[in-house]
Formats: sequence, C-alpha cells, structure tokens
Amino acid sequence: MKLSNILAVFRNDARVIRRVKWRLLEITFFPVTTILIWGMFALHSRQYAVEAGLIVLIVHLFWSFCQLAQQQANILIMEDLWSLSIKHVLISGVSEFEYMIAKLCMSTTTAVCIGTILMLIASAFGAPLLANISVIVAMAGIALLGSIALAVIIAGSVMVMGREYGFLSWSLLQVFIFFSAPFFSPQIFPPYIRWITEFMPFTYVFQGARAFATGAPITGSMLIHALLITAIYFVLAWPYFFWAFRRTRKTGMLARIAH
Amino acid sequence: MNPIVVSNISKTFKSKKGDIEALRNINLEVKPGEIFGLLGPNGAGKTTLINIMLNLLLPDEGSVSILGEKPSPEILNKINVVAGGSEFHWALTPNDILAFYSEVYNIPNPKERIQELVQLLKIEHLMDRKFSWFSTGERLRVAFAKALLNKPKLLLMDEPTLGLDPDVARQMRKEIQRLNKEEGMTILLTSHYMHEVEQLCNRIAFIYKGQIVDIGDVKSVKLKHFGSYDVILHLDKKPSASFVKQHNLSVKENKIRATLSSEDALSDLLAGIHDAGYKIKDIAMKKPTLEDYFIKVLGEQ
Repeated sequence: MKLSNILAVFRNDARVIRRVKWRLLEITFFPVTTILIWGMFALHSRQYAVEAGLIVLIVHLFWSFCQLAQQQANILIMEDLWSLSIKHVLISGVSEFEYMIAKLCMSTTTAVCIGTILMLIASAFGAPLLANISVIVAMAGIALLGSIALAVIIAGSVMVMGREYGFLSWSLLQVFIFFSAPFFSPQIFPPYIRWITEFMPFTYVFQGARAFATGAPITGSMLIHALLITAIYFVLAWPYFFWAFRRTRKTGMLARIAH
Repeated sequence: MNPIVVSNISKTFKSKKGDIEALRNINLEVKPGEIFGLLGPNGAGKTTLINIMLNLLLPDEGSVSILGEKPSPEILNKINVVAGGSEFHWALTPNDILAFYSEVYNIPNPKERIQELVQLLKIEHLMDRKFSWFSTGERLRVAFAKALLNKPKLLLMDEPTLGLDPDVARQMRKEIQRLNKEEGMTILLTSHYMHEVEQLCNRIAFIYKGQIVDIGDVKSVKLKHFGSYDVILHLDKKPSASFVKQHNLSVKENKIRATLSSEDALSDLLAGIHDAGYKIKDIAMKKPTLEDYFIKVLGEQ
C-alpha cells in the first residue's frame, strides 16, 4: 500500500469538490436542514413529550452522520464510474485498496466536519450532547466504522453487478437503518424479525441515542457490544471487496464498467 | 527482454445467452523500440487483449508479461495508455488532471514536466477549462499529455486517433513517430485506420475472432497474401510486340502494365525499357495497401 497514492486520490477528490459549484452546499444542505427541522420539532414537542422530540433529533443526528460517511464514499466512486475516469486511475498504478481507502478518508473527513456542525445545531435545540462528549465521540466512532463497512460492501456490489446498481449507494443504508430500530425499541418488531436487529451495525448506536434523550445510562458493555458488531462488518467487508474486484476482472465487468 | 510477451492467452466470456470466445491461444511478443500494430475488425479481441495487459481483465488461460513482470499496480505505474474517447472527471481542468497523475506517477519536478508537455501538445489555452467543455481532439491532447507524464518505456494506444479530424490525427501520428524514434518508446497500437498502421507500425498482428491469423512485418504479411504488384508505365511510343512478349506485359496505346513479384523484377523491366530505347513519361505503382490486405484477409476468413 502506497500512502502517496491514497493522498493523491484524496487530493483529487478535494479538487472535484472545489471545482463543482454548489457541491459543498449539496453535501451540507440535507443534513443541516434535517437537523433544523427536527430541532424545531423537538422545541415544539416540549409541550407534549420532551423526550420524544429529543429522540427524533438525536437519532436523526446519528442517521445523518452515518449517511454522510457511507454515501460520500460511494457517490465519489459513482462519479468516477459515470465519468469513466476510474479506468485511468486503476491503470495508473493505484490499487483498488488504495483507491477505496482514499474515498473512505474523504467521506470520513466530510462526515466528521459536517457531523460536528450538526451536533452543535442539535445542542442548540436542547440535545444534551456536549455534556457527554466522550460518549458521543465513542458512539460516532462506532457509527463511522459501520458506515465505512457498508460503503466498502456497496462499492464491491456495484462493481460486481454494474453501474446500474449504483442506486445501492443511496438505498442500502436505509434497510440497515430500518432493521437497526432507529426511533423505537427492537421490541416493537415481531419476534421473528427481532433477532435481525442484534446483527445490525447501528442498533446499539440508536439505542444509545435514545438513551441520551431519556437520560438512561449508556454502559461500557453496550458500547463494546456495538463496537464488536461493527468491527465484524468492517472485517468481513474487505474480503468481500477484494473478491468483488477479482470477480469483475474475471467476468470482464471491470473492463466494461471502465469504458 | 521484450516489453510485451503474451503466451497462450485464452478468454471466454460466460453468458446465459451463450459463451463468447473472445481470445483463443494468443501468442505474441513486442520487441523493444518497435511500434507494433494490432489489427482486426470490430469485436476481434484487440481491446480484450489490451485489457488483459492492463490488469482490467483476467485471462482464463495463459499469461502476460509487461516489462518482464505480471501486470500489477507497480508495473502499470511504469507504462502508460492512450485510448480514443479518453475520459476524465468532467469538472476537472487539465491542470488538476495532470497534477493528480504527476502525484500518482511520482514525477520529480512535476511543474516543469507538465509545462514541457503543455508546450509539446499545445494545450496552454485549455489548462484552466473544465474537461467537459473539450472537443474530441482537445480531450485526446489532454489524454496524451497524461500518457507521456511518466516518460513510459511502453505506451499502449487503443484507437488513439478515433474521431479526430485529419489534421490533428496527422499531428498525433508525427508525435508517435517522434516518441518512438527519439525516445525509443515501444508502442502497441490498435487502429481501424489502415493507412495509420501502415505508416507507423514495424510489425502487425491480425486478429480475427479471437485468433491471430497473421503476424509479421507489414511488407511480408502483405506479400504473403498478394505476392505481386502492378506497375503502369507511360512510354513515349508504343512498345514493339517482341518487347511486350519478352517482359510479359499488357499494352494499351503507349501504356504498359507489368505484374511484378519482386523488386528485382522492377529493376529488370526498367533496364529493359532503357536498353530498348524507350523513354518513360510517367510511372505509377499499384501496390496492395494494408486496407486491401485487411479486406482480403477478412474475405479469406
């Protein structure tokens, strides 16, 4: 692995963001407006159910953070596929691993920067985040690991199946969010689905988010459990990614996708 | 060490609608400093072979060696590629594109190198414009600049002049010849323009339905299929019957047509005309072109 290649691809993506007018606005617009809307809802719901408003706000904060971390990486890859520029990158000596790591670095940077802004906005609406910053950072780290793992899995899947499956970049996370029981307890699910939530990367992150709103404790064992599950996703994502690239080289999809 | 060695490469694309055999037992070697042409109709397997060399595709059987090694990111970093219809990110300028690839190719003094190429390819006026605004010719110039950044020992060119107007295509051909002669660059070229291949290539391989049907230098592969060429001479007067018979000519007024199978035969004919006291007013040679060869081989296949 060459660090210089990762830095080169990272800097190139930064150039793309700089060159595309409104790109930064596009990245920040939806998460910021989402938090503003749910922040207003949290204020409004104070007169009915303080905790419900805060649950929605804090869960949305983590949801947006996960979305940024996963989607930014996959969207940058999709742009390279749409513009056909991925071919030049992959035949210039940048390995698929270096390429993916660079995309993940860019999405992590974006998610951390915008996530910080979102956290400050949510705090302004009364979310008790700054007082528990160390736990928030730990939970954000776990959410980031899970999102990155999904980005790697989605990148591999789009490579194997073709450009037309790029919609996974926008949609697959939603399935994982749903089964991670974002605004509600996993107990709401029917028993035959409930077990799935145990294996979702964000179940414990959202559980922690709800705990913030209700003042319930967030235990160390819960964080460790959450970390273990996302770490499993992360560890399994890479062999899948390498298998996917090898398969695309075998089937001819990589050559086709790059032309 | 030959820059490209292809040994027993076979590749079949599996499909529910039936397998497609793209390459069958391909063997070829490209020697250092030569311009080697890969010819063949659409779908013959030329691009498939190049994709295997670029590690974008794995063969089912056989192996490829590039600069003595298996294709890998390290090896790909030492060679370069120009393809017709090259694409870069639409929002980036040539400045951005060349800066990025300078980093990837680890170019010492990248600003100087970029400046050299900008002057060579006359793209100064394009440097701050976004790639999406460029014409086909401008895109190719940028792709060419990127391809020369790392001064590659081996350059793969897949239909490099596709869609270019004749003037730009001619400039590109001149540049390819210069790189080959002055910098000793080995070049593998695929093209549908036969005159281009004829003008540039030392040797060619003709691929048809995934197999090499001919390989060798341009002259010998043409000779193999045609064996002879015609010379038409316009003399100052009608030649005598005995002269015509002696040299096995066909005559129409003062014009004679001879079918020759070697360059010695041409010398003999010219000497005979001189000895017989005729004067040559005009001469035309009708040698088979690579295009004639292409059509003939396709017909034979």
